[in-house]
Amino acid sequence: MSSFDQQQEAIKRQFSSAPPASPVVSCPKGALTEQEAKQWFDDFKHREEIPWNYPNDCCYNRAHVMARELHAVGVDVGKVWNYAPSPNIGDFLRVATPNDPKGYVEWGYHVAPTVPVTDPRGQIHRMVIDPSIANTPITPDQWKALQGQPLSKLVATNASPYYRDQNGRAYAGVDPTNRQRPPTHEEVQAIFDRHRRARALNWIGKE
Amino acid sequence: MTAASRFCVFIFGAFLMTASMAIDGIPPDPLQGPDFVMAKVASWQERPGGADAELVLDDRTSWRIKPGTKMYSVLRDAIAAAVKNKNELLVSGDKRRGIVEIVLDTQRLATQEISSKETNGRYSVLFQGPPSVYYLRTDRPWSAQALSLLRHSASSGASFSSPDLVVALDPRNSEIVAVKPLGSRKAAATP
Repeated sequence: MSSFDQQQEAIKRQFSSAPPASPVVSCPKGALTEQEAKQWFDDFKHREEIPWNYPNDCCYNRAHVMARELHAVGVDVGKVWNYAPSPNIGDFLRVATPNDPKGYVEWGYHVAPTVPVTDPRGQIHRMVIDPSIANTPITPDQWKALQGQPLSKLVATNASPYYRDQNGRAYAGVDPTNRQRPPTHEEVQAIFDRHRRARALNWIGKE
Repeated sequence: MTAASRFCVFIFGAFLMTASMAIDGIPPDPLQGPDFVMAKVASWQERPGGADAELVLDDRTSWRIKPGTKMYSVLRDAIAAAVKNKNELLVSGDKRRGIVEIVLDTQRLATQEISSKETNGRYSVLFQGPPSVYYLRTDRPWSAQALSLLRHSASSGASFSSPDLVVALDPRNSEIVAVKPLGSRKAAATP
């Protein structure tokens, strides 16, 4: 799909497919229907430039790209961070995955974007968009449960932190001279490239 | 679906899984070296006709890499990125004979947290940025110096946007292979 087509699809997604005055779906500004959330999830999951198959790293970069695109079309996007308990280093997050030869990855933290989703009764719930470990939008509690550490700590933020450490220090990007500058497209792609190389190295002799 | 056909589907699925990926739960052997050199690229020459490519680093070590393998294409990409970004590479191998075991990207990082004591012969380390846990093996000759650098980074005020270390990480073993202070020429892994 060309970038023009992608833009067209993004614009279409801003409008509810429900008929006017539908008694079923009322989607407040900035929220998505369940169907739209799933569509966004599937679109992201099939984006080839995003290395979903390297769960060892890159969650902050993937979350940034998804959040930026959702924000650009008016979605009230946020992020959710899951931190392994500290200072008891050793109680890591642990996720079973077919994308590492060991069959699992261990993390100190993990991050993904969240979107407000309106259910058929008109109630709004925050859902996590994370194709690296899930197959559909899931609640933050479900997302935390997938990471296998009951003692971990969930923190919800707006979309602006590119990286947030466990002490709450937030960084908008990777610029050492300006913590507030979001990463450029080139910086984002360079990080994706590095993680694609690491993924290839990780699987040499195994695939 | 009969029990027999379900069994066939299961066997076929299991065959496909094992044929496409090898999730054996066993990490590869640790890097053997015996040399681990972290330096910038001085020159990189690919040669026609299947001849070995030559990588020369700033420390004047010269390495040969055989083309035509999957490893070669991965290493070539890592070398190209290091040249473009003027970053150091970590080359593991036998520098006297120029034989490469592996080439790794390096990253500028700050330590987030490090375990207070070793467990099973290694320290656990979290960096600011990368989510994965990495390990410093205590049987590496450079481990004491690397441990000191990693601990200093954790307490120095270094951060995600102001890293103070250049680090090479082996994704296959989650091992910290080399550490040096940012701006220093000598890595903890360099004898």
